[in-house]
Amino acid sequence: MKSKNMKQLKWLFQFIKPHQIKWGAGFLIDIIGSGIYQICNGIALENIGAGLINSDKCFVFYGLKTIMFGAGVITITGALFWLLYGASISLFRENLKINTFKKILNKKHDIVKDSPAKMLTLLNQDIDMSISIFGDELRPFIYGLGTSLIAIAVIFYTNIWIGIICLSTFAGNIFITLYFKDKQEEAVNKRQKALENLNHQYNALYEGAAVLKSGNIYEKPIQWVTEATKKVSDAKKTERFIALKQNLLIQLFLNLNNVLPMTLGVYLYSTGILEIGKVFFLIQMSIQFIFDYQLMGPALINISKAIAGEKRIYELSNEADEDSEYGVEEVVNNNEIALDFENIKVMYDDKLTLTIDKLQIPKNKLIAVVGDSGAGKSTFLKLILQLIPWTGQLKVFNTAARDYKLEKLRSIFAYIEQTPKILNLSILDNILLGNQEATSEEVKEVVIKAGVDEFAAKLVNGYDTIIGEDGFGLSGGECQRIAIARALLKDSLILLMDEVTSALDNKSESIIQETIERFRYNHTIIIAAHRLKTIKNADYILVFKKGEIIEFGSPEELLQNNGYYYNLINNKTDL
Amino acid sequence: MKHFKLYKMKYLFLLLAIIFYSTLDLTKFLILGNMVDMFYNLSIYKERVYLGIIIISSISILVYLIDVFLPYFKNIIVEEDINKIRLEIGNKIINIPFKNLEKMQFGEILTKAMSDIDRVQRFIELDLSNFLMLLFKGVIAGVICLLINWKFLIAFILTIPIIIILSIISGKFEEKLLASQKEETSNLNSFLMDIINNLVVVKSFNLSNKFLRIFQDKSRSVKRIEYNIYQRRALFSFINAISLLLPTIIMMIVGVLLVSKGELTTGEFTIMLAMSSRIANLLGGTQDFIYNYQGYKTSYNRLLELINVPEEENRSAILGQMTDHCMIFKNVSFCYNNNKALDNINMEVKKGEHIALVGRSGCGKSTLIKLISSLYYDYDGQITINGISSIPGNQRFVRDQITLVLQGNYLFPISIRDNITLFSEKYTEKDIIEASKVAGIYDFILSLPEGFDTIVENGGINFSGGQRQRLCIARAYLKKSQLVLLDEFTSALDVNMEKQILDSIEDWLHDKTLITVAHRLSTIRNTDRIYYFENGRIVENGTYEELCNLKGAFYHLFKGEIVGR
Repeated sequence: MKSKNMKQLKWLFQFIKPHQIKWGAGFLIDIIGSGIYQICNGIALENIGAGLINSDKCFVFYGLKTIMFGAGVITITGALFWLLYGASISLFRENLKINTFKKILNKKHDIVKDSPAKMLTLLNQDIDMSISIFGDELRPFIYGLGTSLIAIAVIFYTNIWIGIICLSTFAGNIFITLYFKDKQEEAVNKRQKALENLNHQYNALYEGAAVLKSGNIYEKPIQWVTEATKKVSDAKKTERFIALKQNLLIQLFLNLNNVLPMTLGVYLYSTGILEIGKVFFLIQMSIQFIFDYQLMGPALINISKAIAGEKRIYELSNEADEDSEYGVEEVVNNNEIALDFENIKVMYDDKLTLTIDKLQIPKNKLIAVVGDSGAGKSTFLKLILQLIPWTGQLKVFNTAARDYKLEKLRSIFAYIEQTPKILNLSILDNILLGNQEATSEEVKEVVIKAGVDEFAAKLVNGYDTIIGEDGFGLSGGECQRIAIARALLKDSLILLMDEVTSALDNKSESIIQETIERFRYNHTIIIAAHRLKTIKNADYILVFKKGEIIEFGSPEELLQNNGYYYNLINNKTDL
Repeated sequence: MKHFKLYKMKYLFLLLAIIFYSTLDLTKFLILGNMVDMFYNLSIYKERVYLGIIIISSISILVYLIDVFLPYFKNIIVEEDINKIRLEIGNKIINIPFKNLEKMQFGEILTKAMSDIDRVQRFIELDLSNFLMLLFKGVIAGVICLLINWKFLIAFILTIPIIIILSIISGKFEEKLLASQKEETSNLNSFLMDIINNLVVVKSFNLSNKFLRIFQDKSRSVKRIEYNIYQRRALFSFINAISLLLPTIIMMIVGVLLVSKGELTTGEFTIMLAMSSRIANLLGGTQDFIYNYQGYKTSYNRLLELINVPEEENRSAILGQMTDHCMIFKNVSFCYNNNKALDNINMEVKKGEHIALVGRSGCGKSTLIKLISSLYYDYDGQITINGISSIPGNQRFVRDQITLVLQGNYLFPISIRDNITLFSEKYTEKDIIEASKVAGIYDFILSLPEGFDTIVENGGINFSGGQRQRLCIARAYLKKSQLVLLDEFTSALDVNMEKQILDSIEDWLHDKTLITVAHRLSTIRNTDRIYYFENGRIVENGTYEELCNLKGAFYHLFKGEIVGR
């Protein structure tokens, strides 16, 4: 348990680098500054007290001088602390955020399953909590710890009995904090999950606004949010209740510390063991000690909570990356077989969704993938793109897919989704995602080929129109044309299309048909299609049913088979 | 903040608790100071000293209890209010006009729901009450000082103006920085949301590194602002330390002078010192308070931005006049962000008529659908749906008249059953089964281990595109309204399934008024009338045969298919 926490903190600490020196120096200066101030304050009080009683001005002035010196020191160290601390903490946040984002980008496969709301909660609140471990929460802790240790030392030096009292209450507090740590962590976890859930609900309301409005549905969604907020507040209440119990004990020790040294001080004075100045000094010191040490209590609680938040980030960071560092970086394009599948199994949520025993897809052919919806067409394309986990043997141009450097492997394919995703960038930038080094001539060529030019040129800001800005949206067909332009610009060896022409009008579709015709002789094209025209035009037909291949061959062969394809053609002759 | 009004009594209670607490705390020091004077003659006052210790101990116990329970109750009360704001955000997402919602990015909303709410809560719960505590302690301490020796206090008060001026100056800088920090964070979150939503594109185009770089640039600028804020903080802490220490030192000097002149006893001096540290704390605390208040104000204003968006108005029931026309558009024009989306549209659709809207993508068909379903209603001209004039305030009645099936209808993260019924309890199990059979999804649902209770994940990623669309069709079927709007609804279906669905919904639709947006001839051909759109205008309309004979734009768009037949 302990060592796991240390590992977790050690992991977190690396993100302060390379500013760890500034960070450490900042805290060191802070402690030294406040320590000097405390000591000066103590000395000053002792001298002023003694000076006033004995009517000796020298003592009083010495006391005043000391405290002014202390004040000067703490003023300067305070400002220095913020400068050093600020530099390291702002970098810390940046580093941690970038690292977490990188993880989200490179995490293996099932990232698609993680809700955006969860990721955003992680990237904001949990990161903030993690930062506070070495930042905002640590400062009062270190400050409290440092000054109270100094105070204890000074008190010990002056009188051992009062010292022992202070030290034992101090130890008691640490013990209580450790005792409550696990419960605290559990409560925080619950709270963060509840917040995540609330964000998830917000997201559903936002995405589903058109459905809810057109259906005049208002009460139920409010009920969702009400439930979600209730969960949050319940979780927070539990958290607070634990803190209450913890605080009850912590404050008890603090107050014992308030009363005991004083009582003992008076007693010792009355028995003549301590002088009046020392009693003064001791009482002042123990009050100061409580004051600093009061900071430490909540800080300890907050740090243990923050560690729970950090754990969520840490767990994410421990998930496996897609293997993208090493591997074959060259595509040997002289094999006649583009894709070679053997014993492939795709699992989704422990359910077998696709099995391929043996399949070879020849190079530079047009392959139409058909089947009922849900038969596995999209899964087939995602498998090729390595977007979902699979087992078995897949060769791409005679090299095993797993042997490629992932980046290289993905550069072999261009993919057009069923519902194309367009990012909130300008239209031009969206197209350039396909190939960032493309020349303007190349871009011009693809936008005309894909039919983007017809609508984009008419917009007020043309290709610089930013999608999503001020709610600027594109119709489904327009999105698809951009997606096609993007894929064409990538100019990969294998083109994967998922029901690509579905949202297109006939004219745009024929533009794309032409493009396909031009491409099909030197590119391998795999289309999950449902237009007969596309299907009939293919060199090979691949038929899926319930996650298995039931037919594969040229249209002529399949027609004689009297199977799925035969029925498809014959039922649909009027289309 | 309007939420507080409801809890006035509770906040009053908190305030009283804080005042009580501050008074107790100071009384302790007052007694302590008196005891110091007795110390010198301990043999005489011994009993009184011990009494003093007993009083201090019992006050300590009270203070202890308040110390423990006050934050707890404070949190419970504030939490309740904060939760109301959380609920209000949800309420806003549901109730503001669709057009306003479209213009907001979700990342922005989420930033408000997370960091801004946290900020506001921290301010009310901690910063504000801490400040109040300091304020009362400071004021009471000031009064006590005044009672003991007024000269002492005057010296102290003189330092206040300098401190206030200093803090106002530094506060001003702060405000702008904090606002831009929030703004940048919000942008960053919108960017993140976009990327996370589009990870498939990012991965399949090998764009991870590119977006990581963009993210690095963006977060660098956030960092720069943050660092600036810390630099201000350094300056601030300098001023803060001065304002905290200056009064203490001045009071010490004045106190020492007064004691040496015999105007003050040592015990009184001790009290004064304790009091002066309270007053100094107040001054320092005021600075912190101003600093925190800036942050609070920035966040609070950002929340208000969202909360102040007017909700859709709703009138009380309006009955439609009986007419033959299910839908009338009279001279309707509509602008979206200064782009003219629809231009002078005139349409009349009779009850039971089936019409098709045709045109190249981006010609305004989908906008028209949104106008009919009253998702947009700030247009020029006149729209009447089933006799109800589609003006602001009427949208709920208009929406009751229609069923809308969009290309990518959203599935909620709830069970399949709830997704189909959309929580209406008036449907029986039989209705639900019937609807799913019509949509051709019944067998599939039965094949799932949990059947109709299967939960849809994350907008439906556990279903294929076709299955998602069929669930939406089942949902639409159940609503059974007179006017049905289908916006490219079969685009994600394969040929077989499309035909099956078209066949099975034919019965359902034959007595309905149907407005369909489609690209496929098979869907359009059997409609009573076709409207052909170009750049937001109707350029041709008529029956299929009429348009074919016209040999105009429509004919040219579908030439291939028409000739092929």
